[in-house]
Amino acid sequence: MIEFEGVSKTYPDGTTAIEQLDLVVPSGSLTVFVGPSGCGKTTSMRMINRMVEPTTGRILVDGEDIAAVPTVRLRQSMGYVLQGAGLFPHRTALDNAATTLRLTGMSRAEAREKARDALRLVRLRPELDDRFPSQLSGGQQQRVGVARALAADPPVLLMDEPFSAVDPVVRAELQAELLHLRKTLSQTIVFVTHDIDEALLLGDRIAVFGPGGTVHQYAKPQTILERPADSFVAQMVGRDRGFRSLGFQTDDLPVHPLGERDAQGAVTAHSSEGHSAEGPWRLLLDEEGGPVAWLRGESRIPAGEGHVAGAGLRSALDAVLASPADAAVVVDEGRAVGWLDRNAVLRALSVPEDRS
Amino acid sequence: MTDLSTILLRMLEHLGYTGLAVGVSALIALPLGLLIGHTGRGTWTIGVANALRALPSLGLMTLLVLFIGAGIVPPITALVLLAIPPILANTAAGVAHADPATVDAARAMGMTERQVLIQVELPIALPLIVGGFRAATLQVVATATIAAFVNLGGLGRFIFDGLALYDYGRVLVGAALVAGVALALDGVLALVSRAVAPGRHPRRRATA
Amino acid sequence: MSWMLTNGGMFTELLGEHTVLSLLPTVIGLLLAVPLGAMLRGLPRARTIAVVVAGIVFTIPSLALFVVIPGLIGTRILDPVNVVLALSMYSLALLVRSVLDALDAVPGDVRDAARAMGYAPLRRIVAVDLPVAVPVLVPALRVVAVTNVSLVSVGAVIGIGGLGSLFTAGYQRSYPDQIFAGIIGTVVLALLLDRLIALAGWSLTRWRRTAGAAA
Repeated sequence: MIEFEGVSKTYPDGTTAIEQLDLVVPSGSLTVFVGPSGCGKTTSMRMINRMVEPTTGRILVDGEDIAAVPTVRLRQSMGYVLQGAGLFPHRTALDNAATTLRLTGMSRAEAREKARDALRLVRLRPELDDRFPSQLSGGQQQRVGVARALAADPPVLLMDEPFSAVDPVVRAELQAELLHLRKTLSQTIVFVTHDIDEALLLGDRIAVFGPGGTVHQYAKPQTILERPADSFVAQMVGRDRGFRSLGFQTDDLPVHPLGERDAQGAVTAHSSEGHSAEGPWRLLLDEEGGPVAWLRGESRIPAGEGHVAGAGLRSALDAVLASPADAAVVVDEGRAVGWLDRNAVLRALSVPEDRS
Repeated sequence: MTDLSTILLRMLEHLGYTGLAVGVSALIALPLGLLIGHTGRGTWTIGVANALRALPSLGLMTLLVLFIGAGIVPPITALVLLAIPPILANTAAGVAHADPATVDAARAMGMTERQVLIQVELPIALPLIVGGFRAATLQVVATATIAAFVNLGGLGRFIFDGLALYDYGRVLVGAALVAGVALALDGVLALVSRAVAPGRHPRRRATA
Repeated sequence: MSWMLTNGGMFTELLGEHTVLSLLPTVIGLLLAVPLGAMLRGLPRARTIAVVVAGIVFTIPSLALFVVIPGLIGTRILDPVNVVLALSMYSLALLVRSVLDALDAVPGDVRDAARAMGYAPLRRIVAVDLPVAVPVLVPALRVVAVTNVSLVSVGAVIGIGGLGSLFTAGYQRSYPDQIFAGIIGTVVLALLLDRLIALAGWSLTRWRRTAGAAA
C-alpha cells in the first residue's frame, strides 16, 4: 500500500507542481495517474522512489515513511519503467534485465539466470537476449525495460508513460501483454499516462490530475466514465463516454448454440425463419471454425472478429451493430462458439444496471 | 635589452607569420572542406589531413631549410600543414551536418547547388568553421615560436636568445608575450564565433 | 635511410625515449581528467572556471612551458620531468573538457534509469556514465596522443626531445638524412598510438554497432 499524506511540491521559483495530495494506492492494484502534461502526475510518481522529494507531507509504503529509507535501498526495492525504455546502450538485453539483481549483490551467473526468466515473462524472443538496445525495435526495447524492472520481483512497480513512444499497433500489443502479466504478478503498480483510453483500459483505479497538481477524481474507471466529478474530468474522458462505459457492464446474456454445418461449411445463427425472400443469413466458417462471412443469396459480408463472452456490453453491442443478421457471433480463441440475439442485447441496454 | 620597439617588432613578425600561415591554410582547406561536406565525397582527404597532425613541425622546418635554404618558406610551410587539419575537418563536418530537412527545403525552393552551399549550408556551418579557425590559430601562434630556431624573427627570438645567453628573464618575457598574443587572438575569435552563432543575431532576425 | 641503418641502436633508444615522453603525459592526463571531469559536472561554477583555465593553459606555447617549469618547481632545465609535466598539463586541459562533453552526451533517460534503479552516484559514474561516454572520449584521446608525440620533438631545442634531437642535430650538421629518420620515427609512432587507441575504443563500444538489424 502506498499512501500520500498531504503531499505538496513547490519549486524554488514558486511554481507548484503538486498541491496537497492525499491518495491511497491499494496493495496489488494497478493505479493510473492520468492528466495533461505539467499536471504533476509524473512528479507524484517520482516521489514514491524519492527521485523527487516532497516540499511538505509524507509518503508511506506499507506503513513506513520513505523519507527514513536510504534512497539507494528504496529504489532498488522498486521497479521503474521509463518512457522510451531508457536502456543502458552498452549492455545486452540480458545484462540490462540483470541490472537490479547485480546491484543487490547477486552473482553474475545467477542474475543472468533470473533475468532470462524475466525476459521470457515479457515474451522477448530468446535469440534477442544477446542483442544491444540499438539492435532492438522500440517495442522490443520496451519489453526489456519491463523485464529489467520486474527481474528482481520488487513489490512496487513504477511505470512512467512506458508505452507512449511506440507506434499504436505495438502499444496495443504491449498493453494487452501487461493485462496478461497482471494475472501472474502481485505487484502494486503505479502507471503514469496522458492517454485517458490507456488509463481506462489498464487501470483498476484512476487518479485524474489537473493543472496545478490537484487530483480532480480518484475512482474506478467505470465511475469516471459514468459519473465524472466535474467538467474537467468529463472533458478529459471526452466523447462517447456513455458508450465506452458500457465496456464495464457485464454481458451475462444467453449464448445460443450454432446450427450444423451445411455443404458450404456455413452454419445458421438465427432464432426465427424467413426474414426475407432470400431466407436467413448464414455464417460461413473456415476449417478451424473461425467466422469468415455472413452469406445470404448473392450477398457476402465479412464477419468481423465477433464478441468474446465476458468482454462487456460495449463489445456485445458493437458486435450486433456490425452484423447484418439479427445475431452477433460469439468467439472463443478465434473459433465461433455461439451467437447473441440482437434484441437481447438491446433489452440489456434499456434496463441499466443499478448504478447507485 | 628588450626595449619596447623590439618587442613591438617581434610581435608584428609573429602576427605576420600567424596571419600568413592561417591565410594560406584557409585558401586550401576552406574550399576543399566545403566541397567535401557538400558532396559527401573525398572524405578520405580528411583522414590524410588528420595524419598530417602527426608530422613534427620542427623536423619539417629544419628539413626544408636544408633542402631549399633559409627564409620564410620553411616555417610557413610547416605552420600551414599544422593549420589545415582543424579547418578542413570542421568545415566539412559543419556543412555535412547541416539539417537535411533544411537543405532539402532549399533545393525544393529551386536553389542551385551553389546557392544551397553558399546561402544555406555555409551560414549553418559557420560556427563550426570559426571553431576550426580558433584551434588552428592557437596552434600556429604557439608553434610559430620555433621559427626563431632557423634564425627568423617572431617572439620565439626572446626564448632562443634567452636560452643561449642563460638570460632567464628574457625567456620568461618571450613565453609570456606568446601566451598573451594567443589569448588575445583566441578572445577575438571567441567574439566572432558568438557573432555568427545562429539565433544570437536580433538585428538580422528583425529585418528578415 | 642510410643514417637509420648505420645508427639503429641510437634510433631505437631515441624512439623509446620519445614513446615514454609522449605516452606518459597522455596517461597522466587521462587519469586526472576523468575523476576531475566527473567531479566538475556537479559543480557548475567550478566547471566554468576550470574550462576557462583549461583554455588559457592551451594558449601557452609548449616551448615556453618547457623552459618556465624548471623555474617554477626547481628542476634542472635538462630534466625530462619538465617535458612530462608540461605535456601532462596540456593533456589534462584538453581532456577535462572532453570528459565533460562526453558525460554531457550520456542520454538523460539512461542516467535517470540508473538513478531510479538505485545506483549510488559513484557506482553510476563508473558502471553506466563512463562506458556510455567512451565514443565521445576516444577521438579526443587520439588527438591528445598524436599532439603529444609531435610536441615532444619541440623539447629537442632545450635538449630533451627524443627523436626531436635528430632534427636539431641534423640541422646543425646539415645532414637531412638524420632529420628524415626523425620525421619517419615520430610519424610512425604517432600513427601507431592513434590506431591503438582507436582499436581500444572500438573494442569498448561493441554495443554501438547495429550489425543485427532490429526486427
